[in-house]
Amino acid sequence: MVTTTAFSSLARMEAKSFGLPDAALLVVPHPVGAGQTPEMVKIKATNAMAKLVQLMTDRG
Amino acid sequence: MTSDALQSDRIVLPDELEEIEDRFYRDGCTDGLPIVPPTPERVMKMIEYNRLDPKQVIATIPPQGGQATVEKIAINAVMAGCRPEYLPVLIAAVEAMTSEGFDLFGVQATTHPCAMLTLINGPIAKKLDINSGAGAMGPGWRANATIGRAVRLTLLNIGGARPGSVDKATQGTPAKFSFCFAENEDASPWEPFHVERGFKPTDSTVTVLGLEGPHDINGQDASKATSFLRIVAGSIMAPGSSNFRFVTGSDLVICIGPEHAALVARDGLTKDDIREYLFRTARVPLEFTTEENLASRKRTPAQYGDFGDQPIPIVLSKENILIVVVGGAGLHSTWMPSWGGPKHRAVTKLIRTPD
Repeated sequence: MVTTTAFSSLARMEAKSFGLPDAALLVVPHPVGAGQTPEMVKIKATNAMAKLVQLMTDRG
Repeated sequence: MTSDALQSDRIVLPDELEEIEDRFYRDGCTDGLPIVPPTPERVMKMIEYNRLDPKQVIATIPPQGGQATVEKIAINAVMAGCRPEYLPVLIAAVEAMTSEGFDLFGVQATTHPCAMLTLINGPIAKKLDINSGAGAMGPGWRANATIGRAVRLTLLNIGGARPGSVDKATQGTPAKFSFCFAENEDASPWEPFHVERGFKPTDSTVTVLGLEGPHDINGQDASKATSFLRIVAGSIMAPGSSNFRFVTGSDLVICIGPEHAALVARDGLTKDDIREYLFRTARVPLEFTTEENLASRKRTPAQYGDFGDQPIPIVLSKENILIVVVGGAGLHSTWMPSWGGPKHRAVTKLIRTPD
């Protein structure tokens, strides 16, 4: 699941309620919406990709 | 049956109200206000009064997926200060909120400031002294205050909607403390809201919908139906509301004060005439919206609703305008936009009492 820091506790509860308590969460620094320039979002997305690769490879 | 039939964990606390309050508050089980301690005896008394089985599962409540048994609902009702005879209303509200297609997960977790409206119709309103007249939206009536509060505590404790961590409302709303009232059927010139929705006048029902708190429609200058409806149309043409941002089939509620209702009915208009007029008239000219919003409508019309270069309606269909008569003397009405979820429609359920 992909979420932001502000919503990670909700995402964790959601995962648990769907029977996936250990689902990997890709947590991106909040916010990613209004007020962010495309450049700022691009930096967050690039960092998130690195984290995503790490999450996927760590879990085999 | 004794309180031994209850299955919830028990905690033993010193017999000091302050210590009990502190413990429940610390555990995140309250709305911030003091609660009535839910002792096994109080909980059992409420369940026995209604001749219910504490183990009966009514629903599971998202996002936590907690099981809303009669016992768990009764615990929250006791904490909220409900009298035993209020429990069937709360159970029907839980049934309504968890019925197929009602996006309770979204209402619970959204950043939007929506609370759960709990609207009561039918004879039970008088029986339980649920206020529908002057000041019906609060404060001052135990049934209104505590049933609405019990709904909130149920959503919090069984559904897990902790403000800040799971209930992600950016600013929240006072309506989340309590949001319960009845329709003033005696003062309405039209058939009651629940009868419109297929129930008998003698049925008692609860209707739920995730809504903002009430916004006044000051109609003191209207002396004829068309004038009042112009004021209503102007009030609900709100580009800042979620009904406008997402015109995809969500309801909104208009609570018409009895004097306004009498004015409109005197000029021969039915509730459907009102809906028809508002749907045709309450359309926001494009200059009152933004280029970003218009771009979103074109890009993802299923989420936003795309109306091309025409003024944008506040709802997708006239059926999305729900009309209820509420209040006492005076020329005030209210409206309440719903949260931004797609097709968020009100659900009405029958209240089953033991008699």
